[in-house]
Amino acid sequence: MIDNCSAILDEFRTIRKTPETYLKNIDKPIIGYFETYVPEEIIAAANMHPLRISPDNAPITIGNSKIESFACPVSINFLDQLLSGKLSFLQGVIFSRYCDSMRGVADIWQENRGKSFYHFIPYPTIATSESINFLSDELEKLAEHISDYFNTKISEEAITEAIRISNKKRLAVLKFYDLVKKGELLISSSDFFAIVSLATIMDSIEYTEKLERFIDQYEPVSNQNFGSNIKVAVSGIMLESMQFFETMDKVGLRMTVDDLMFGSRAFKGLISKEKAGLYQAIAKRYLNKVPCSVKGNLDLRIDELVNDCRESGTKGVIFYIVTFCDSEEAEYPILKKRLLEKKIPVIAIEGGYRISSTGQLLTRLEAFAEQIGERL
Amino acid sequence: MRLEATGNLKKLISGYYSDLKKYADSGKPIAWVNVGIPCEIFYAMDIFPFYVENYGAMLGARKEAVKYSKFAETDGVSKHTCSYLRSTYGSLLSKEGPIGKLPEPTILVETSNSCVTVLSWWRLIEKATNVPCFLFDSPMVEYESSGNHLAYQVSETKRMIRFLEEKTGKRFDLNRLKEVVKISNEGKRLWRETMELRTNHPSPLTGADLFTHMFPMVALRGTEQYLEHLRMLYKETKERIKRKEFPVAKEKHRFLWDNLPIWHDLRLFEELAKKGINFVTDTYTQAWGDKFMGEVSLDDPIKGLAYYTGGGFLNVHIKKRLAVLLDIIKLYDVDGVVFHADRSCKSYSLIQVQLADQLRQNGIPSIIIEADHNDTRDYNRDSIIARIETLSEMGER
Repeated sequence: MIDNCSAILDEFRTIRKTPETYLKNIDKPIIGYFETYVPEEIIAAANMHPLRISPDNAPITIGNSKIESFACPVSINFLDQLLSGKLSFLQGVIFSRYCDSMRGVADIWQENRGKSFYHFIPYPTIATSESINFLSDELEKLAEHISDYFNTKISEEAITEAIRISNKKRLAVLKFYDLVKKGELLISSSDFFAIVSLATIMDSIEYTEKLERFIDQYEPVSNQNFGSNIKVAVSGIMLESMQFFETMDKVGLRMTVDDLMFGSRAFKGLISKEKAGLYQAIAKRYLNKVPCSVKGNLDLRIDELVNDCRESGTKGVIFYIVTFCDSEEAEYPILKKRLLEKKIPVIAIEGGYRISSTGQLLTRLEAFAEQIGERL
Repeated sequence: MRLEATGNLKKLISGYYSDLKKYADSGKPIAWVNVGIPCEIFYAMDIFPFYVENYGAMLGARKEAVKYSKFAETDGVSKHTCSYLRSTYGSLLSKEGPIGKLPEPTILVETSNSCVTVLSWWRLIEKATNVPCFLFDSPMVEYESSGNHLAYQVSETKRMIRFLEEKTGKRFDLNRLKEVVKISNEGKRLWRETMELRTNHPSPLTGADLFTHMFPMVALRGTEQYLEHLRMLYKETKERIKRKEFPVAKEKHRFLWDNLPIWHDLRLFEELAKKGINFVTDTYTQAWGDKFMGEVSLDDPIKGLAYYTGGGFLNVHIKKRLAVLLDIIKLYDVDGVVFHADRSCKSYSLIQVQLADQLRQNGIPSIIIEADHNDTRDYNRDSIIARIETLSEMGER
């Protein structure tokens, strides 16, 4: 039993480094998903492990022969992992219409998956009573499809329990964010990223327990003077490169706030009980959560980011844009204007699913650190 | 070989933009909308539907898209984003364009049934114009809108009508909508029948013809001038067959074009026609006829229009796209397919490699060419012609 804070952190780091080793020990069938709108609760209620697929750090082998080169590199990486058999340990995958690139991946995989489980959730973009009803019906269809395909039963009790577990995890992650934001928990950008990103990879109960113990037993590491580092926020959709966060650490930029799809946006908002039923409750939460730019409601996202920056005292925002992501590339000017109005400096860094040039990244982050450091 | 109807088309286009200015000058409501929005409702409510994509296509055809895109790019919008978005947003920012400064909208209306990029596009326009915006939500469907999806599309249509009434003060009248839909239905039928005249060997039209004439199908459905134009186009096309006047008299190849055309180079079709290659059908103009979705019922036009919005060609999955391709390949006796991988239309383009593979497995030669429907930068015409010629070498009629 690990009961030491730094030992827990080491374990998080190890799992983040080699998640495949961790996943080998999961004794349940694993269902994959790619974005934060697929409700993990329904997969968990089927006694399966919901696994968020991350872009891996490997070169593309087959993906780019099946999709145009102007698809976003993250989606090409996902397609590559699917087609190359790297994800053959999954029992199936669930998509929704997240963006134009991922709908392409979903369709291509639908035609190439053989007999493996595949489900596409027709997903609304807005949160109204009608869209919640619609999504609720669609989530029920998802549950029925899983039940039929795997010959299992998804009971109301199982969904209730899955919601309780996911909510508990969200609360733990949000507490972690809050402590980091308030400066009561000092942690490097790379460790921050490692811990948060594992919330959608590890078993939820195990993860929550570890994170809660980590928080309880936390004491600042004496040989790391985080207090003098420059606090920044990282915004974007998909940023999964450990190299990126390690480079931030190198130049003294400490992430205290994030606005990433599988960062804070994945955890804000709990599922509350609804008289209309469990699926309604799940639908309501997912449609009301802080949206990605692909959902159109940019103001809510920016408001959240600005509030988090204020509360944390961040000195600037690093906006990571995945090349060929139309939504982020188009909306960046809006985000930039809003942040500058609030006197929050912002830098846009464009790249792929992995960092191709750490030297260039280092130079840009150093320049940004110098620029905002002077404002301290 | 120029269609006489093209002269009328020019009048229609100039009339449309002249009406836009008249609405602006008289303070009547103008809605900036995207192509998935049913214009019949707007015409029935006397709200002018300004189709931003159409305006983008005009910038493209006039080779002015890059000029205006640069304004958007200077504002921070990446060159990688959709060139419709960049060129129209750039024109808005520059306060310039082929018709001068664009008249300001009263409201904005968008739908998610074609792509996700529209949502970002309308955010930019919304921030620049500061007027109320309505999003018609349309989740993707496998084949067609039905069941709870259709019920949701009906509720979205009604929600949109309430928004229009509230923001413009115009009243919705179901009987007026039925009148407009009746005209719209008639026009869609004529459009399909004109398209189907291309099943003739040789085809009476080239690939460029219907791309050129699709403007009223997008922006004027339900109006008298739309119907008049479609009658004219149908009649003239039919007469060509009767008189045996064909733009490509000796069709060596009957090809299909998938995706938007390259608006800045519609002459590409003429160039290929000289080599005996005629594009006798395409998936884009098919989307505006009634072949795959039928006519909108006059008993319940709201439901009928909702069905169209929900099951739009870019809102369905690959199996439907493939079914449409196979259907029209057979109907038009197509012997090769050119997939235009359009850098500015990911939702149309990103499954084309898969579709091409599946067509080849069905014995249908297919190639992919890469271009951008509006942006002329990085355009390589010679390479595209060479690739299409390679397809033609796979066998002559």
